[in-house]
Amino acid sequence: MAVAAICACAVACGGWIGNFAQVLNPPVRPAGLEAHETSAGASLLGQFRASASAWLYLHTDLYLHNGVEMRPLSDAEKLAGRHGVGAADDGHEQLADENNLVTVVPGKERDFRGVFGDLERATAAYKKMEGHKHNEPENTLPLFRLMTLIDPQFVPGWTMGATIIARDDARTGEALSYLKQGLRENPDSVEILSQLGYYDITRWKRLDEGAEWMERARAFGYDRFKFLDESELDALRSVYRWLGLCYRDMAQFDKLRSALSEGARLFPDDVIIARLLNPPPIILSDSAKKAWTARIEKAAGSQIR
Amino acid sequence: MTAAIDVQDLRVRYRSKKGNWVPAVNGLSFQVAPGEIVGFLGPNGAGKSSTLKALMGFVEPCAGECRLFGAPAGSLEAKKRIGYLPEVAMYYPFLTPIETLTLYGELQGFGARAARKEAATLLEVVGLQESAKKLNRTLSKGMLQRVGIAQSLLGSPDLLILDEVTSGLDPVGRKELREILKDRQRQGTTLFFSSHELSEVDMLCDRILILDKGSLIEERGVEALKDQLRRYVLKYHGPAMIMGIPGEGDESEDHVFELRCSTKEDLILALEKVQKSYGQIIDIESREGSLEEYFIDTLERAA
Amino acid sequence: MKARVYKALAKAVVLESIRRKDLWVVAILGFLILVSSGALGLFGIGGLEIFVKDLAVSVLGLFSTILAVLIATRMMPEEIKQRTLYPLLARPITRLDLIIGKTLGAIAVSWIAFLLLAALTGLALAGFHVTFEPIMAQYLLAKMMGLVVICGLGVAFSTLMTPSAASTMCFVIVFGSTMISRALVMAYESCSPLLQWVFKLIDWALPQVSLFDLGGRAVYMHWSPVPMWVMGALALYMAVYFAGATGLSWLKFRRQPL
Repeated sequence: MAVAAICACAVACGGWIGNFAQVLNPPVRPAGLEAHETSAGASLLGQFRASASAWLYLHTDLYLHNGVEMRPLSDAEKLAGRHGVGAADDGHEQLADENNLVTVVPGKERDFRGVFGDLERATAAYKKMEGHKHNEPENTLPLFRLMTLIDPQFVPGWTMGATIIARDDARTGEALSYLKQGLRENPDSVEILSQLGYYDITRWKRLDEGAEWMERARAFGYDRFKFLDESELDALRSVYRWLGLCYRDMAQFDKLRSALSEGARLFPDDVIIARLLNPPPIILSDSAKKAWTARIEKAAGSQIR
Repeated sequence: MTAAIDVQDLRVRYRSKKGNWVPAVNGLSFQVAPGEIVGFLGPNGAGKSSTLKALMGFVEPCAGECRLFGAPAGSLEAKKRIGYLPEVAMYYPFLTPIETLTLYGELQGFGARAARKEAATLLEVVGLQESAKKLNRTLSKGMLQRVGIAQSLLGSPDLLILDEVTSGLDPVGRKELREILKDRQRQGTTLFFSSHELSEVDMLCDRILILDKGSLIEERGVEALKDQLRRYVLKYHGPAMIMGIPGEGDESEDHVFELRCSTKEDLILALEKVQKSYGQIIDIESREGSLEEYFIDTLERAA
Repeated sequence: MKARVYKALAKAVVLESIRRKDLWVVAILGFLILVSSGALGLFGIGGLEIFVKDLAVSVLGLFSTILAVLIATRMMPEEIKQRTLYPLLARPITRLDLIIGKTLGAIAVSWIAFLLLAALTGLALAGFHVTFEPIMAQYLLAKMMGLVVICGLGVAFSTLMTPSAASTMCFVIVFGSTMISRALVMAYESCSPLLQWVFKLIDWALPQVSLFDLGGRAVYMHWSPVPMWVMGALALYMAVYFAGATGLSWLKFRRQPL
């Protein structure tokens, strides 16, 4: 009797856990309501895992700085003309903008606390960060894997993780497969799609395949334009620029005009899209045209990552 | 000779929840000589516990002073010579009696080993050796009171201040306690205790102090008081109550009268009168007076 | 003589705490640490050593602080509420002796809890093949000194206010002091000279609990051990703060009617 009851409980629990897992991570996301909108448990756990992933993401910065905590400058500090520690001199500066960052524990010259400040600098993980070097970003990869495991919908975990993998040209394929894994969890992510396109275009010079990814990103972005957050808007802006460059180089001017006109309508203040749409005056010499094009490409590239 | 307890014009007050000062003891003065056993009586709220707390230094008097063996109340010098049993004391629920007494022994100044030995001896004295290693939380109220008595005896104090000492004890326990206290007195210990049990006071004390509304209303030696309360009862058969006979009397059954005289002289006078009136004496007895009645009378008189 | 009194009082606190099963909480927390680190292992991700170490050190610091606050803030109020202090104070000891003895008891229980948790955490970390550098020993020592400061503060607060208010205030100050101190540093330069003095006073009055946390150095790689003068300064600060907090408790408790 007792054994039967236990078995029944186990079956019920197993069924419940199975259902619960499906609620949390449905294989096919419903077009209407999200899981967290229909289940309190999913909502609570969803909030927890989103927070956990965001916390892990912030933690990667500590890895890079070997435990030294950094913070952005306050408005008052910026107004007072204070500068951040500056970019690392080891070529990792693309991972974060550190011109605006200072150490959380202040340097002696800016610390009124006297001996307490000295003690904190001696006991906390603190060092002068001007001209600092980062730890190997690859060390943070386990964290990215962990954060995307905890919350597969945490898009920065996929995109930044792929960026770190792709720092080594030889691992571009690995970065692409990591991104595709992220795409399976976030099929309409403009950021992931644009980054997939970016690697196809810049690393493997596969303009047509790159343009395909970009077009998918463009379609999703255009449909949800009003609901995109800041990072997705940045990604969509880059999508239009890269589409302009791809179609120009593939001499597909109709597509170029169509994409760039749409981009110019959505981002009317974007100089690069405007220039790509309206090429420079014909009076420029060939060398000046080449220099102008190179500048545009460089600017577009730096704004993507 | 320095008094064991010397209280002069003691005033204690408490701040009520409303923030007003409420007097608890009003100008109390008394002394207790070394070796005496003094009972401290009074109705609830009379200020007994406040006085004892002032003697222990738990509350600070707003006026007056208390000295124990000449040392200020609450001072280390005074506390070295006192054993104290609080009215409601709890002992660490997750320690055993032996651990509890060892702790107090160490605080008293014993070394760890000596404290444990003393604790074991005292547990035997109060009859708790069987329960020495049970947790305090598992002990009955009476057993806890025994732990309390044992702790008050630690270090063989010169003065025992006991608040409601018999509280929670069964008749056997009370008898044992009386023996312990009498034994201590024989060794020269001074006892000062408050109690609601007038029979205990009767059996133990040399002197009583009665307190009401923070003031001392009566201070008597117990033997003298007993004499005062004692009644000689004369039972006789006669035609009627004899006129002018000393004492109080009434007819208990048909032509049998009971006469209560307060002194032996009155009794002799009454006997003479009965004989002169051809009355027949049935019985003569000496009856102890009721301390309880006296206590209540005293309070009513004070009121 | 005094040492014997303190030892006896502290020993009673520890015994009570063990039998009250307070330390079971520690065992449960330790078990949770072991289980969660095991769960991290289930992800099958290599290279998480630093992260696991970081997580373990953070959890260790958090739990030990919470336990220290809860233990310290109930010491004196419980004595009064349970009326266990009457037989204690009837002994030839002062109220200051009682405060010191009880605080030392709270410290002893916090230390036992911390070391138990540290041992269990160490066990969990060993499963991840985490290497321990010499600074880890300094981390443990500094954290134990920090617990002394927290216990002193907890007992002081508990003599000034109700136990629940005391623990809340203690949590706010212990966890908030670092944030407040950092906010003061950020705002200092843009403030008037008068306000700068106020900032200095606030900073000096706040318990500098973060100084006792060497977790950042213990977790990340190749940080050199903290110089001995720093450990000495921490010990001095601990002693001064403990004396100050105990003095504050005594000022409130010495004339309190019981």
